[in-house]
Amino acid sequence: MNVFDRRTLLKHFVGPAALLPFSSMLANAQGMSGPRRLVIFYTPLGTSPVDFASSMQGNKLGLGRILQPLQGHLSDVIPIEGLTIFDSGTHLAIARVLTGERFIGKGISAGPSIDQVVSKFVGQSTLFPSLQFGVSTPLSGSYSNLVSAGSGLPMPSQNSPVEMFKTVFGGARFGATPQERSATASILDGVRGDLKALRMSAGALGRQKLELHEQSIRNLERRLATQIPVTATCAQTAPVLPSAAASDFVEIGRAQIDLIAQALACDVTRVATLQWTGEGTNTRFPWLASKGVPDAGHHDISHVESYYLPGGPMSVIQTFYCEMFASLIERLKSIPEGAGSVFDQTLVVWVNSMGRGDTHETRNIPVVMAGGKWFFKTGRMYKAPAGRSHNDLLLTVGQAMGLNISSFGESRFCSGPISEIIA
Amino acid sequence: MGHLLMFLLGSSCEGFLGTAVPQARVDGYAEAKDSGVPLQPDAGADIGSGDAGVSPPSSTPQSDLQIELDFLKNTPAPTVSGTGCSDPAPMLRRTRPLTRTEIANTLADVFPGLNLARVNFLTEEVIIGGFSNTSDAMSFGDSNVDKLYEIAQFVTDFAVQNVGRLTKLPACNGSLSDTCAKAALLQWTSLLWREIPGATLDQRVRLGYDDFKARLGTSASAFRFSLFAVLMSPRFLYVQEDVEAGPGSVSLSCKALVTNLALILWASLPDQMLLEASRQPAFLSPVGLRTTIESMVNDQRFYRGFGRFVGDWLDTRELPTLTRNANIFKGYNADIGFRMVAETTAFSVNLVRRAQPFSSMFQQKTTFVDAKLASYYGLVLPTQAYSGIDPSQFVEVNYTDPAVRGGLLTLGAFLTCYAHEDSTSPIHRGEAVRERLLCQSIPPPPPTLNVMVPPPSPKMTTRQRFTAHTASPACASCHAGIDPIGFAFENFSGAGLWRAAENSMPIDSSGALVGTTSSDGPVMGVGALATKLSSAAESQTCFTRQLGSYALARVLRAQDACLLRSLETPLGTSNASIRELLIQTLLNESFRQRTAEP
Repeated sequence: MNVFDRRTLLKHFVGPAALLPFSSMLANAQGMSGPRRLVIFYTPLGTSPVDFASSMQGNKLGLGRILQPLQGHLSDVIPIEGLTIFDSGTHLAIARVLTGERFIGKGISAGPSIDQVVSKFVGQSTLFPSLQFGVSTPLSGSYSNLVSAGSGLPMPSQNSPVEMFKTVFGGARFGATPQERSATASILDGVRGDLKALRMSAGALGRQKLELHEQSIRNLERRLATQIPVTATCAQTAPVLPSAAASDFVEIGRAQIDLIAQALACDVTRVATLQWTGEGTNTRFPWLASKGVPDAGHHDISHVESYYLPGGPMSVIQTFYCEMFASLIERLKSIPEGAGSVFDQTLVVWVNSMGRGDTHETRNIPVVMAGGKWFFKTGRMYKAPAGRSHNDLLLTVGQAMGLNISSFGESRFCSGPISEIIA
Repeated sequence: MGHLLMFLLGSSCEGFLGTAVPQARVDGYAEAKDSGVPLQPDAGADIGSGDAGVSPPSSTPQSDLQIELDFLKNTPAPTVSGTGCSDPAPMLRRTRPLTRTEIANTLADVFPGLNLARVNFLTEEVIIGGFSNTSDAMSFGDSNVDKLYEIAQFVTDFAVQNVGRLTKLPACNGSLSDTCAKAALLQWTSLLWREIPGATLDQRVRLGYDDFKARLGTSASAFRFSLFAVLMSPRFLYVQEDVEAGPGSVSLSCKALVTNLALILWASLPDQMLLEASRQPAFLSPVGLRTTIESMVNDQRFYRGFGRFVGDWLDTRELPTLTRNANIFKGYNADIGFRMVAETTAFSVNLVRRAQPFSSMFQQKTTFVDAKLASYYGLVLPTQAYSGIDPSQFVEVNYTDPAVRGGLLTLGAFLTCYAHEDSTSPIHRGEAVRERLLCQSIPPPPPTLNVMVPPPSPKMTTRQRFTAHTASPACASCHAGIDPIGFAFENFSGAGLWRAAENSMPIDSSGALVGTTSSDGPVMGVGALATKLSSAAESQTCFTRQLGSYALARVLRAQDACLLRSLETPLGTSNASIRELLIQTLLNESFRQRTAEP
């Protein structure tokens, strides 16, 4: 099998698979302005609560110091304070942020994360039901399992924009000739048949795994046989990184943000997560040194109480992440779609697994929602009463994406949607 | 799709033109059945440690999606009745994917010289219930299937280029011929699919190859695509436990048995010799099985299998990825971490091979090091000694001061894993002893407590800092069962080195063993703690469980009480060796018996 990318092979490929209609076109035909999309933006180790706190001045939202980069999007956002992630209190909370579930192993969640459940609903007609983007996420380890496909099935994030681009826009190898491509197709077809036969004789746990495997082979087949047309909306621009970029945190983050926007605009996926590092990791922020961030790792910094004072290092770091969050919004707004932009059909949620990192406190979790205006009352803040569960947020996000669910995660920690922010 | 391809793919008849004639399978590969009684999950009440809190069954489902959501969650384990020894229920036969480690090891064994570091390899196993080989640990979702697709191509390219060297087949000297390709495919498929070479496999390989040849034209292409199909096949990627039918419970087939043995002892699939041995009538006799197991323990590959067990059990395998402050722990880095993991493997493998008693695990006065690790610890090795991370090359050394170090608890890996980035962690060390060595579960701190450990201070010892930290009544009740154990380790730094003082203050390593029925009591230092642990009934029972869980590749259930009791007895009363415990576990009925399918 020679190296052969999808763009080239499609010139030769003859078959119904190449004519797969694009779901966005379908949506347009149905008179919708576009498909609904969800982006989760995760940052670790809590915030500086005093600088995160926003306020309402009459009807006007007054953003906290950390959230100043969102000033230009004031009418699009909802800062949320006061939610609690229950049954946690350590860095393992990362595995509960999006699942709201108990653990069945160290940092292994007993259920799916909200993005994965949403992807089952809105993502099945796209090439990728969901995509997991990462920036310096640890490859393994209990403190980095943000996304979960189901019980005991954490999904890793892809840290390399270059690899991600290959995956999304056509780097898979498929064979050099029509005969080879058809042979590959029959092999995958046969593998699926074998998996199905095996599934019929397997026990329940085995069956679930085999089904997942079968589905993944089907997804692979679909990707191998599909070319995404380049259009004005879907430019498919490869990430350009400085040569020493492998370690350039900011550049990689920006490239991932750009790829998320492209993937949504091309409608190859409707669900994406962007995971910045993980819990317990020691990212250094040399570019923030001039603003007073010491030459130490994020985890170490998060354990120093005085760094939580107004304008202190924890505040500066979170402001940096907020700038990244704002740039994601800007990028989505910059791509026209229908009468508006891609952003109009997107809900972006910034989550964190702690309130503050020094006490490992999982009360007062900082959250910022942006977009999702078809469902939310934006341009105001919400301060949750003590004891309101973060699971309620996940449930609300699920409902915003059209899911017909009334509880999410461990039911004892879910009391209902947050009606205060629903339009 | 060419109809002959099905021989190589071993596909069900689904998707073939018009015909759906089920073929009799000689290998226990079951037919697709559209209707049939689904098997019960192989689940039951867990024994011992870990996650006791099973979530309540979901309430009335609100929608189809809610049902799906519940399906994606862990199905609550059914209650198990009849746990007495008179009625041991064998486990159901299982289908589980090979783990990442098992796939990597197998590929390295079948294709020597393959450098998997050059390909984006599969995602790390998810450890649930203690071991990376329990049936939940691995799955093939989108990400892994994409990687597998690349890996299979990478392996195929390598194998085809090196076919002469790899197979040593005379037909493969010179340019590639059909004869060579088919013979090589037969050899590799036999290993990857654990199939005995014979008429059936031979026919399947030949027909599959011929079909690809007819479609693609060249021998090289047919060879590549055939091998690619073999590697992508679930016959390679899944362990399916074939059984030999009998009334009531059934026994694993010899092929399934030898596959399980190889996965446990080598973390890899059986080789040609082992596959052939399993076909001999003597294989299943107690003597025959024992001989096979003994020779596998003496094989080089046992380092991988037992190293995996110890690494999972003590959770030391991630050590090289943990961050440690280089200013505080001078000389320690990831490179030393890799060597500490190898040391732990070499130490444990040699305890087994030398048939040492259980107590030596805590009291052994030697360890195994390479030149770099020796110099880190301050042990003396010849200057030309081996330097690297292959545990089988590590050299045995006596501790220069045997009163200070001895056994598992003072191995660098254990000491360094259970520490903070900048200091020791009496809490983590105490917890590790309770959870991993005594199989006792420690509840997490309540969410309302401030669990932040105060940062290191030059004016205090770690012990003083932690004593103050857990002094409040809300903390003290739980920590009374953790901290005294951890404090006994204080003479060893967070990177595994001996220290007599901290911040110019002398170390106080007085502590106590807590959590046992008859061995509790004060100790001075980790040596005394280890002595107590070595004779505690709970630590023996726990080790038996840990080894049993790894050997059965699943979280133990209440039904396993019989198995455990029968294994614990010799370990406790006659101080039997760890090696004998391992052999007895693998010879035990539970390892071989399965419940007949309904």
